[in-house]
Amino acid sequence: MSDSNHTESEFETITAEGSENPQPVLILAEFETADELMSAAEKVRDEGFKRWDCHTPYPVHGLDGAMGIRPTILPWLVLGGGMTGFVGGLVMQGWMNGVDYKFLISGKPFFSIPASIPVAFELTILLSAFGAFGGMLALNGLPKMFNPLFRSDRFRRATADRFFISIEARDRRFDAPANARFLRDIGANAIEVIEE
Amino acid sequence: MGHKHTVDLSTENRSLGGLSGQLIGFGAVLAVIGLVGTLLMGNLEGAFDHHADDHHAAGHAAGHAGGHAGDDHAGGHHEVHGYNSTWSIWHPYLVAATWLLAICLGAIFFVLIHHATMAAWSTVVRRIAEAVSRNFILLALLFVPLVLPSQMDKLYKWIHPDPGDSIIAVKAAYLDYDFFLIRMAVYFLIWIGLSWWYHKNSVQQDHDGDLKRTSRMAHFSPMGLILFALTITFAAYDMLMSLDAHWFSTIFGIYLFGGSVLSFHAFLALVVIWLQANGRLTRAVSDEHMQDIGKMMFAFTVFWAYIAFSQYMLYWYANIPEETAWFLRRQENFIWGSWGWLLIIGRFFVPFLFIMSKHIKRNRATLALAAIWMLIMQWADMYYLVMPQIDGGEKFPFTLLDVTIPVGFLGLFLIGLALSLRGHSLIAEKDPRMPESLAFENA
Repeated sequence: MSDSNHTESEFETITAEGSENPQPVLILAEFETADELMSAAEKVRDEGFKRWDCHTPYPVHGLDGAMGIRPTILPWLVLGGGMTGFVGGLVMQGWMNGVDYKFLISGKPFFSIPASIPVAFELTILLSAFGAFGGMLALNGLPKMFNPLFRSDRFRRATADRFFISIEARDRRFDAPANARFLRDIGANAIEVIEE
Repeated sequence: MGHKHTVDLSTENRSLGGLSGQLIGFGAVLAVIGLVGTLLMGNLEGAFDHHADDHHAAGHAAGHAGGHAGDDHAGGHHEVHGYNSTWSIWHPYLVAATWLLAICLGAIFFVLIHHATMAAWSTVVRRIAEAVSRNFILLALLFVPLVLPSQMDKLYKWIHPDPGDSIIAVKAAYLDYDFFLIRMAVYFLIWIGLSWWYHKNSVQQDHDGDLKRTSRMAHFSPMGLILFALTITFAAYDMLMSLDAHWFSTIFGIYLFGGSVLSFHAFLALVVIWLQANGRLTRAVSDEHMQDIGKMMFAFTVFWAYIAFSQYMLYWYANIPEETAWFLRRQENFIWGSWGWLLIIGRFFVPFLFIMSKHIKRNRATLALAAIWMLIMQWADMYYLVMPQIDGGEKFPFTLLDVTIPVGFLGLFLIGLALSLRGHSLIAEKDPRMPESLAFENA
């Protein structure tokens, strides 16, 4: 390590108050611009990290590709929700109007497709929306009341004008000093290790 | 986003060049096939036989020669003839003409709505829409023979209503031949005027780069959209709904609109795919743009179904005879009942499920397949609006003319497109939103 200009002191350590035996939970790297974040994300991806994330003040187009994120299964959840709504809507009305409680209304058939489409359609939309909303929350592990990232004051700028990469300690390649050097090399201008 | 590599247009092939000859040649072949086929098949069907006596028999559908038309017309005598026509070559002609008209209407709507919303993603393909919309000239020419009195008699029975037909009598002020001609002239003048003005400004901006043109086009677009909405609505009433002068549906114009926008996006996808296969616009139009065109095809598949069902369900529910009559002719016999299912399944469920995935939209082959299918379905839809009026929908009037005429018209349409695309860049060169459009990515 003597040949490196960077030393371990170049990252700041934030430790949770009152922690008995603090262990690092993640490492946080700050970048100035979206472009720097993009190229850094590609390198983190190529390095083989799995449990890491990017944090940006606004959606950055193309970041998914740079991070190597696998396609989400969310569309299938939405499709499943929609199909459930459509079929469920038809079956529900068939059961209610055609079997369980037959009631003659202005000479119409007890059950008919045209009359049942509006309800089936609305249930398709409703359950698709539930699938999209609930599925998105579930896949993202939300709602989540606390994240160790919140211990970092610097991280607050992720909602304003800074871009971050965080690597979790659960990643097999996690090694705070080595990761810090790596992140510094790929353009981070500040590194923090958060311990809990 | 600065990370996006910029597309260098200077190395992009963005003029039609030698392809214009290829497209005109292909169009000419189709037109000749269509013409020869129509003449041959028309003779076989006896379409040209009864010019003389037909005029006098107008309004009274029964009782004239012409193998296909006159055979089994015993039942027709007793019906009111406000809607019942006998087969003529002008029926498939009208189907083919409205099929292509729908594409043009969708094209001018595309141009107008993207100016009105100042859309950026679509700038790379807007020139193609402008060129397609210029085919209104061709369609105006195609509609001229249709509105001659002798042809009107065969299609639009309101022109000589039966004595005592009180339903048509109350509509006589609107369903008047002279007024009809004036309306048709107004529609086409507005459509041609809009398409020429937008195309002209866009093309001239290629040379002078004048940004005022962009704001002028945007400023006028809401007015253009209002004109478009009024003309497409009343044109749908006049050209298609008045085939059954007893019937009425206030949503009919929107029905045509849904199919129009859908068909145009399908046609646009095919044109772009064809251009790219020939080395034009290979980088300017990316997968991202194709996906958006596919999204519009998906959206208007749903929109069409929504409108079609809205029209159907209200009439089904109210169950009032003068409203359900139109659907009865299309539902109470095997042929048109099946054709209705063809539309439900083939025009909605199949494309709906097929192009739902973004991978299908981003793949040129699958998108082209969907686009061709949708254009065929647009034809099937126009067929469903026109043809069941023949003989009260009691027999299936399909002849090979239903193939040859659309093919011939499509040939003319492609020639018109080649003439409009030729001599200009294939993209709006100096449109201020071009860089944004080139860099477009779906989130």
